[in-house]
Amino acid sequence: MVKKNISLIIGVIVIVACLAVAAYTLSGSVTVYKTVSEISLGGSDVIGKPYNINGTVVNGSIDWDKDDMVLTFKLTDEKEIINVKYPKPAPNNFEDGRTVVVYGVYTKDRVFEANQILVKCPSKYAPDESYSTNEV
Amino acid sequence: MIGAASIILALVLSIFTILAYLFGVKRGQKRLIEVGQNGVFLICGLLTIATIWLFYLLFTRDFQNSYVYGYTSRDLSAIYTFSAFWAGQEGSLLMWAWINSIFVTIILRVSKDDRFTPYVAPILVGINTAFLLLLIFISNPFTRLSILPSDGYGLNPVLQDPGMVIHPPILFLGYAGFAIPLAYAISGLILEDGGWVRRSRTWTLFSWINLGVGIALGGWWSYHVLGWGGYWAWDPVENASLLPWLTSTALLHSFMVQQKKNKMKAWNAILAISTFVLIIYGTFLTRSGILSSVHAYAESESAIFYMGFIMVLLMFSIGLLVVKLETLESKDVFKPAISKETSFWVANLIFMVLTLVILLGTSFPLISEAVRGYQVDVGRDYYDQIAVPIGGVLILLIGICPLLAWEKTSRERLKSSYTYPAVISIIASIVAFVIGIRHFYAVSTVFISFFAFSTHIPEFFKLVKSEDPIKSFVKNHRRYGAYIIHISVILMVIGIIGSSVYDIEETFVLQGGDSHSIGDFDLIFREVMIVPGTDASKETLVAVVDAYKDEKLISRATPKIEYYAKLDEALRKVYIKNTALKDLYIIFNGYEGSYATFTVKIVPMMNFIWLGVVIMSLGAVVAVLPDKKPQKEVSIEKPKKDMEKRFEKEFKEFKKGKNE
Repeated sequence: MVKKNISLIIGVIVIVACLAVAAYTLSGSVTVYKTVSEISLGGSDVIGKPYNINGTVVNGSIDWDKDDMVLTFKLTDEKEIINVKYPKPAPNNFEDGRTVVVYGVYTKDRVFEANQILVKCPSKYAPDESYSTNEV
Repeated sequence: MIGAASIILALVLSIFTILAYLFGVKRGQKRLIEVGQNGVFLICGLLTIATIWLFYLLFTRDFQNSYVYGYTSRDLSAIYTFSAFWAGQEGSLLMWAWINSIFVTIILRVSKDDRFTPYVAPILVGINTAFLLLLIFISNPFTRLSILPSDGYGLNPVLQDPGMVIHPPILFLGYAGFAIPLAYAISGLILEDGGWVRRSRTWTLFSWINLGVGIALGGWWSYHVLGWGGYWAWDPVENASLLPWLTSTALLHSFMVQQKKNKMKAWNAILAISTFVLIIYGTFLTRSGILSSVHAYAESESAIFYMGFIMVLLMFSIGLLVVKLETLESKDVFKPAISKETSFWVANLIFMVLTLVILLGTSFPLISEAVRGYQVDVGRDYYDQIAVPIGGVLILLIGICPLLAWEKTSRERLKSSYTYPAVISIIASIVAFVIGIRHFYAVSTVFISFFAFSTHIPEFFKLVKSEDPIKSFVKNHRRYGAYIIHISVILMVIGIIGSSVYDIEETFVLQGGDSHSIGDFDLIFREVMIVPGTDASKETLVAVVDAYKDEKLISRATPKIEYYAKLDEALRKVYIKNTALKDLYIIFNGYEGSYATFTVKIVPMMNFIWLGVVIMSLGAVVAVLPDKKPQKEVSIEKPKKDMEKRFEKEFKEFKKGKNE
């Protein structure tokens, strides 16, 4: 019995220790989601820290500079607008009006320097609102 | 009508079946148990009808069915019409329920008179009840629209790929299959019989390899369709499928300790239960739309339902474990010695740590939103920093553990087993360092893989030299199956580390006729062609790029952009030139005037991963071969309680009655 307890105790200690290290590492890898307004109106608090931002690509704002390889566009939450810079070509399905998540840092020059763009997929099926459904 | 009626009837029958079994077992009435058996067959029949009916609706393009409307269109090819069955929430749930009903039927056919079966069957039917409830009330594949649309919405272009024809069904075989070890574990607890381990081993291995291959196929699909040059992103949904794979891998190892030494009994039950609970948890993450992820299905109200399902499973299992804990006590537990038992214990501990660490990262966004009220995202550097080193220790154990003896490994055996592997792997690491492999992970991989190869491969030489290699192989097929799987894991690790440490990526703009060098490849951009589709809905832009290596044309690459007019979506189709050690991975980003933008990656060692998956499947087939004689099992007879004795007697009578 004693030996069983010893193995159990060792196991628990190892697990707790590893989880503590994991939790510490985790705290450095977590990025908060913000809205465009929170960034745009956030003042100096939001500058220089990495954030995820949800927003819609403003119509006609996308520009790909092929010489400098920079993609620029404006992102909005229907209230505020911010400028976004991305050092790679636009990802699949990145177009006017799409909902996207950008990950990056807001700089002093009031530009959000993204290094990741996730385009929310529009083709996920949502029943068309004009159709009422009834089960048979 | 037919489809909806079938699933409703299946639900009603499931409830009757469970009740029949419950009373049949409690009162020892064989007639009631027979009723239950027939119930199982009928449920399977009904779900087969529902499945065929949904296929029929898909192929006849009955757009008034909202599922058919949502996932197909008139121009969709036959193969993707077929795979549209599991492209969405509703169809894939139906597939899951159908597979579950087939599995229960197989169990009834194969081990009809086994004392576990009257317990296992109703538990599995009970689990299926949850899916049927979901199918009927939340995600019904037979919902009809009030009008008849002239065409369907269409299938998401990224799902129009061979990977998506096979990845989901194989994964679901694994998901559905893991309900079986859980059912046997719970039955074993109720019956106080450790024989559940022997009975569920084949099912566990079957589910394990399907889950593993399913995950790998998902990675393969991601690699050649999503066009980001990777196959694993530590995305919550990927993690959700990895977690049960880790716990079931641990389970396959600790099963052995129970079978050979009658130890780790409670632990095995816990692992079997957690594996399935983690599968439901993963399903909850994927299907409730609660996390943003590339995999996420459309949002639905099923979150509370899945939470409820998980709570029921957990409370029932934990309650049962607590009540039966004393029956799981092992007589003598661990002797602190260098032995197989100890190594399995250590391996299990590390599997557990790895599972918890990944579970923490995956669940943290949920915890944060619930506790602190704001949404967060866990970056992949968390997993790279934490999960990769822990995984590395586990991989190192692969090389060490198999040669240890049960009980205690003698000093001589330690010396004879490990001297050469240690010397070989140290020399290999030094050589690797000298020829320029300097990255810590890469050098570690060299060390670990040489160590594992030099402990495993001699076992096969010994086999070949033995008197009758085939007979010995068949007799020890479990052990050799395990060795083959270990080797396959090492191959995959080489591929994973090689492809993530030594990949190169570059984005550049070229004009027709321009050339660009990357790695050892020279690329010349020729032209862009516009290829109209077979119908108006799809148009393709094809860039023609000649790839040269050592001044020899190795490939005329044709990365594409497909435009799906109806869905207003453009999809970049990456072009992959696969050579033995390196993949040339070309993405055509777009075209403006005479300038085309390309992103090119050189990804080394990918073939090791795919080869590893194939070998792993072979190893699983070898391990799952039927045993000639039933494996000797340590007797676990315990003084039976009166209740159980009564049941045994009644059950024997029931069996006798059947034979008459």
